[in-house]
Amino acid sequence: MCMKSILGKNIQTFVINMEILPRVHLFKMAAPMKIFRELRRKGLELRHVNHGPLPITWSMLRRPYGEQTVRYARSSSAAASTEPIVQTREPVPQPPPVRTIFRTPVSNPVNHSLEQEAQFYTIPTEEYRTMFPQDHGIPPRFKKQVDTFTEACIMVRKPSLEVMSYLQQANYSHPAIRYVFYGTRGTGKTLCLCHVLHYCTKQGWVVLFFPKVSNWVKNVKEIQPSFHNPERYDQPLEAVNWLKTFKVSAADSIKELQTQQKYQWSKRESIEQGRPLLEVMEQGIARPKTATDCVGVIIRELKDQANQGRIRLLVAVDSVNSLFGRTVVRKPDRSMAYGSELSLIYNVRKLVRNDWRGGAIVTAVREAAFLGIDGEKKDHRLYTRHEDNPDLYHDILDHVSARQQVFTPEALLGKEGFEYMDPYVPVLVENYTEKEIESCLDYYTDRMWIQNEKCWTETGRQQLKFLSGYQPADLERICGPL
Amino acid sequence: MAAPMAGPLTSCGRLFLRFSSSLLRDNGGNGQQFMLKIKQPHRCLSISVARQRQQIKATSSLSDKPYTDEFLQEMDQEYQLGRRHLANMMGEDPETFTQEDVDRAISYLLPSGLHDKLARPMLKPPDQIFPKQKALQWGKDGRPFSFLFYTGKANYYSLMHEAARVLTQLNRHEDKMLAKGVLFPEPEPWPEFNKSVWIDKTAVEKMITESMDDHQYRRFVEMMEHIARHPYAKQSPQFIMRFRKELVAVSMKQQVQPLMYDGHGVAYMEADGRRKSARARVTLRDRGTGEVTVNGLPLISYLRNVQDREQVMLPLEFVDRLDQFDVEATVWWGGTTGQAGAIRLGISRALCSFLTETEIENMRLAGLLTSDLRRKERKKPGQKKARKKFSWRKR
Amino acid sequence: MALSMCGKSAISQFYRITAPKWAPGLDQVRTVVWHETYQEPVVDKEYYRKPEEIDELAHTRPVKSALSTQSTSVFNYPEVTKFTSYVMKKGDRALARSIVEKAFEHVKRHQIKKYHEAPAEEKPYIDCNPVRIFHTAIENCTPVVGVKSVKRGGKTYQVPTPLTDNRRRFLAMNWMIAETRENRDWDNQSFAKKLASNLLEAYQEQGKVVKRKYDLHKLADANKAYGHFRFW
Repeated sequence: MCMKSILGKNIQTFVINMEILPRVHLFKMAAPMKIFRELRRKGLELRHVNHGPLPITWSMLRRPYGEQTVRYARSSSAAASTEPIVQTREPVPQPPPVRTIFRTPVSNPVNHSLEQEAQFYTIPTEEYRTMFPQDHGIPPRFKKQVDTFTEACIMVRKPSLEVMSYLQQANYSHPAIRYVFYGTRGTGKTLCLCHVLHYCTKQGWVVLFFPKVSNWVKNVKEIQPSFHNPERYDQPLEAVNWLKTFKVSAADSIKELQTQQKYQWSKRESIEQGRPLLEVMEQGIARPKTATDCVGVIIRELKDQANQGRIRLLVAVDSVNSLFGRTVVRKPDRSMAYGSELSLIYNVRKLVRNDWRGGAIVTAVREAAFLGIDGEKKDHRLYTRHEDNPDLYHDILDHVSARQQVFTPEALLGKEGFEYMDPYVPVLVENYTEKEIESCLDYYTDRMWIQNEKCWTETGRQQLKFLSGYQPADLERICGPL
Repeated sequence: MAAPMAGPLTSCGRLFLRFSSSLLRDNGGNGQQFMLKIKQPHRCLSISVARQRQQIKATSSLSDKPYTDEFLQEMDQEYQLGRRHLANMMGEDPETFTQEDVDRAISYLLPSGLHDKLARPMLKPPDQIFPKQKALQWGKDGRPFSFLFYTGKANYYSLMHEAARVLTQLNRHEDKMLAKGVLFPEPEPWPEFNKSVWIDKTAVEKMITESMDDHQYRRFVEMMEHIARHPYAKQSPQFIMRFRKELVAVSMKQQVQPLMYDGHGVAYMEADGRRKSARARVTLRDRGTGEVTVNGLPLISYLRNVQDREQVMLPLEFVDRLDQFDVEATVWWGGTTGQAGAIRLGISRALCSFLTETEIENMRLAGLLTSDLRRKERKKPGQKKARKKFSWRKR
Repeated sequence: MALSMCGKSAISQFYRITAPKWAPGLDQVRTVVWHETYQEPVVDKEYYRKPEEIDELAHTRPVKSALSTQSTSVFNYPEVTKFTSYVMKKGDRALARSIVEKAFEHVKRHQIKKYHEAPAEEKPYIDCNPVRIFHTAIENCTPVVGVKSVKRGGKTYQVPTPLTDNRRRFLAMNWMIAETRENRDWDNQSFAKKLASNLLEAYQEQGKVVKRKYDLHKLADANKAYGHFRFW
């Protein structure tokens, strides 16, 4: 490096020294401040500048890590921390304009058709808040995504369109038809369910949404014997939670409805015939002891009213396979409770039976909710713990050796569940197609979720496709640190 | 280097049992010297002073060299004779009877179950049996010629002296150039140097006919490096290049198998890979979509770790063919890292058949075609792990 | 003038060191499976775009196998890989990597949120790229000078000394990790979250890690009187 040409004339004496001295000698030299000012003016990249007598090294003159724009760091004196930091303000590289049409303005799922397939539609914030109060029932990572993107967008995909078209064409004077979303892990079954849910809400149906029934058979803190049937057990906390969310999400659609008979909660408490159903909910929320029975009453009432044709009822059950078979809830005598011994599960099971008309039953089976078939060996790490913490769940998955996934409804429902649910319409939810993943990557790029410049190129996108294997959940997950 | 252990059946000239007698005769029946030679053929001089005195007395009157030229000539004649005898015994043409034939004939005629190969019967040319010997280094008065004689390694130290002399010369030259004002000499290209390495210890030992320990070899290489790094090192190329060995060219052309075609005319290729204790068999199919199946499962179900998936992706990504092939892999043994590495190597190898030579060479330079030979280092007894020691305090 | 000032030996010595040539058997390695002729692999597609710049010698020598941490993937940044190795405990790289990636995700979420809240004219200046933030943060923590203990006359002096690039990077990254581990303010938070907040602080040239850098600088400055001990 020719110091002379950089520094100019006014520091001639020093320059002479610099030129004739070999480089080793520089280490010993204290650098006068004016030289550095000069260097800075000439545009030489200086990473750190020392005032005063500290030695200057060549490492200070080298390029910093990566392709960073260089800031002039301050001196080592304590004053530096108090002064405001002068940063060179350069605009950050922005993502390129996206290429495909990834977003549709049609926000009403009633109008969705194959035209909007693989495009994202926005759920209006108010509707989102009513449908999923406290983000109840949506996948945790999607919840985070909604927070970060400040909008709730779901992709219009074929499985949900399929179910929506069935719902449109169905004859509601016949017994309710059951639909089961199934598919391998992380393919978007729950979000398809949410899409259908939104569709029915927009149609003015009453929606009974039971998100993650698996929560009711695992990690249960408290149970108590039922008031009217000592053989069964109530789960007051879970029931209150569900009532609270149902009160928000269904407030509009059921405010006209009234009870059709008298219900006796306990010796002293009861509710008369002809009272609004909302009162039943309030009763349950106010008195957790009776909450489980309130859920049962609401289910029975709504089912009756649908039978009579007053309302259209959608029953949406996520991880429906938890309704059948054993649970990991311990009864007071330390033995494990069976599914039908829990009142909540018992009531939802009654709802899933197609002995009523005027509605539809849309469900999803989940492998993570699977407790294994009776008498079969199971991997406890997979099936029993941390199901609702996706990060932990995936961490565990990463440590479990590879295995064939169980995902068909027959396998997950088990013999009992299959006999109970039969007949049903299975709807397969698959990994992204080429069109869908392109649209998804565009969406992420647009929402600033993919920040890495390499991922804005074609090769980068290909890598993401390869590494995620077109699986929606994995794609979202590996894009996290990018 | 074959040491002439004088076993009863070891022979130089005549095949059977004649070896020792001929040696004795040729050296004037001096049993003392014969014993010395047999015991320490390379290091005749590195023995006690008393021994040396005896030896001097014995040999100085005869000749300077322990093995005289005449002696070696005679041995050679005997070797030729023995070779022809063997050829006759085997019924072959003595003129075209080579050393390999000799070895074969001996192992056939005189099968030996002795464990030590040196103890088995053999017939070799004399220059293999009698190694190059150091010339005697003292005069008739018993005084050594070299002033370095009493270092015990005269040749080694004179070599180092020579190196130091060369370095001084170079420095002197540099001073001259500095005086002329040349601060930064233009670096001269020196391809011969760059394409060679320092010769190894045994080669140096052979060159100076002295043994040296590892430390001394290190000192030597350091010294030579010092000279070679000198900006004017190219002034004395002969001295440096004497100790350089040309690198054997790496087989740049990988063994590329021809492509195979299935019933639909789609090209495919198979290859094996291994890493740590994992083994993989990989089939690469052309006209694919980038789908990878491992043991019948999709890649993302089989390898949950993103780093492992990156490893599988690496060779295909490196040559920009991520969506051209379908990969089918079967893996055995090992953990996920090992299996991913094994699949990576298998894909790289199979990929070669689809690539141009430049691309293959690039893949080689990226270390994708090298099998990773590293294994877990064993635990040592008396230690906690492979390297970790038990904690220990002096009292 | 030059010669009279520093002497010829200094000059010649200096040049001799600068011409790097490959020396066999001079590295202090206890066991390596690769023969000394094996060269390091270069896993970088850019490197091969200009074949004329590749050293001719490279074609004559065999190559070591690429490490399993090396790749051409979008996730691969040498500095991040290094940092991951420092975070790693007991060789569990998968865990270390997931922690670092989670920290990056927290950083990104934080910045994106900030981006959406910011007024329109501020938006182009808000960096949401976690890798870029990481690089800047580490750079802000990197010390310029260090100190070295020197024993003179039974006393130990902290002598200011220049540091190599490697050492500076090591100090910066290790301070970052140590401060995160020692953070008792939110004990029940995950390492990733604490790391993310530390990175964001350092990105703003604030926080404990940057303070540690200034502390070291102050120490070196205070001990400048002992500078002459450096020429041992």
